Amino acid sequence: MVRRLHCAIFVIAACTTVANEPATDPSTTLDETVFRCNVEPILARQCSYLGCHGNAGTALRVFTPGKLRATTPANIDQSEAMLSDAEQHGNFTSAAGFSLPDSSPGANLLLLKSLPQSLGGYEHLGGAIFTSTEDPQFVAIYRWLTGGGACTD
Amino acid sequence: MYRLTCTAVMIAALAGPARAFPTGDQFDADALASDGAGGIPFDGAPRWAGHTCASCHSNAPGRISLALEADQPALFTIGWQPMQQYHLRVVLQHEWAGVQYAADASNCGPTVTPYVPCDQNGFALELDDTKAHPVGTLAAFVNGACVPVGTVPIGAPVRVLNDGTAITHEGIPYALTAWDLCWTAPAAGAGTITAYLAVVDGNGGDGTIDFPADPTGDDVATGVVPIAEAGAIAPPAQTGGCDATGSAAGLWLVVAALGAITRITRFRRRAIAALLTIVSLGGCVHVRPYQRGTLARKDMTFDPDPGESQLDLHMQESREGSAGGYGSSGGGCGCN
Repeated sequence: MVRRLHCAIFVIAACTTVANEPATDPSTTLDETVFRCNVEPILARQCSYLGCHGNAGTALRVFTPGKLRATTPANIDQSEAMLSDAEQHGNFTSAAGFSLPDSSPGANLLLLKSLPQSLGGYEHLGGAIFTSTEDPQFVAIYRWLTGGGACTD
Repeated sequence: MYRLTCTAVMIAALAGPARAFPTGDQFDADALASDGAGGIPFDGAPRWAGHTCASCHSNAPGRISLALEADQPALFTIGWQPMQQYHLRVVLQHEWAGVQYAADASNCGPTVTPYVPCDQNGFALELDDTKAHPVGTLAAFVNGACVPVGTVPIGAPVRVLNDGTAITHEGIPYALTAWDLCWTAPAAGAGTITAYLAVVDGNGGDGTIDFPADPTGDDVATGVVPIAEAGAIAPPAQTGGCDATGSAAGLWLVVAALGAITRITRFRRRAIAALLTIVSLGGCVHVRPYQRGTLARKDMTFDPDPGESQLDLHMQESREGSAGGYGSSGGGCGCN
């Protein structure tokens, strides 16, 4: 009886809580200011259209005036109003979410999905957006992902 | 009286959806600051990844079609002449959306009480060379004459983008289903030029003053029109090349043999079939070890979206603590 009790105590004592270690939130390692001045304009111009990433159901969700808004606008004036701070932050977190903890910036889908397949890009329903890795848009996003870039004005 | 003499090309409508730019200046406006397209005309040209009006005017039923017409029929039959100026017309055919507002097109909009929606349609066009660069010079066609950029009078129904590479509707007047423009061909040697165009049949927004224009409920048609260079030597037919399904000679041999093979014995038929198979195998490619890296690329898998799959796989591996066994096409390290 005592032996069983000791055994049970030993087993219980051996138990420990097992949990996945939370991954680092990529948005904490990326510069939102640089995103807003250098990357968000690219996403707005190239990606934000309603049949594309101006759609809440897509992995990369882009809010822009006149297209997808965080709250349903009551009229066209509200639809075309400037983005709120929350919407801009939403664009940042959506884009930052593609920075997987164990992947390099060069493997980021923000870059690879929009690159021609002949240059190592992945298939993209919207086609190749960047002409090459020298494309200023590619360079701007890459610099943001690697902690570089700066707002010039 | 200017007489449009030729209806050159009829183009089938394509269905698709996206957000509207009811006024031409929105094509140049910044997409982040003021609901613009940032200079993208959405005409389907390669430099815009083929994006058309359907990038926003989604779920279009595709009931409309479009045509590109020219004052000189030879443009489409013989080809473009260097430095020749053409009067082109983009025509939206079979309009149905918003036609109930077309009867009194000038009596609509927010200034009318009670509010009446406008029948607002649009188009975009550019002409590119074989390297997908816009060529020639675009201009408005107003009162029977070509009007260069910078001197277009207010109220002209078309607008050339700021960089001169494409032309779109201006937004007013309403109820238009045809837009006239001028295009001056480039100097000789540009080769075949392709016209990329798209039209939108607007339905008057949601019918209220709150949304006089929106991308839903509209119709879209897009088209691509190749225009040869007059007098230019046709490009040589594609030659050479080989794939893993067999050589061209082998396939021709198969075709030639089909007629005769029905009249010979089963044994000979099998022998000839085997022979044809061997001949066809001559077109198969031996994959070298250093080429396997290409086969191992994610975009070589039989998957419509390898990148998305990789992302899903990554999450699954994290959840389940497992990895591998998903049909990878092998390492790219050159191992045999």
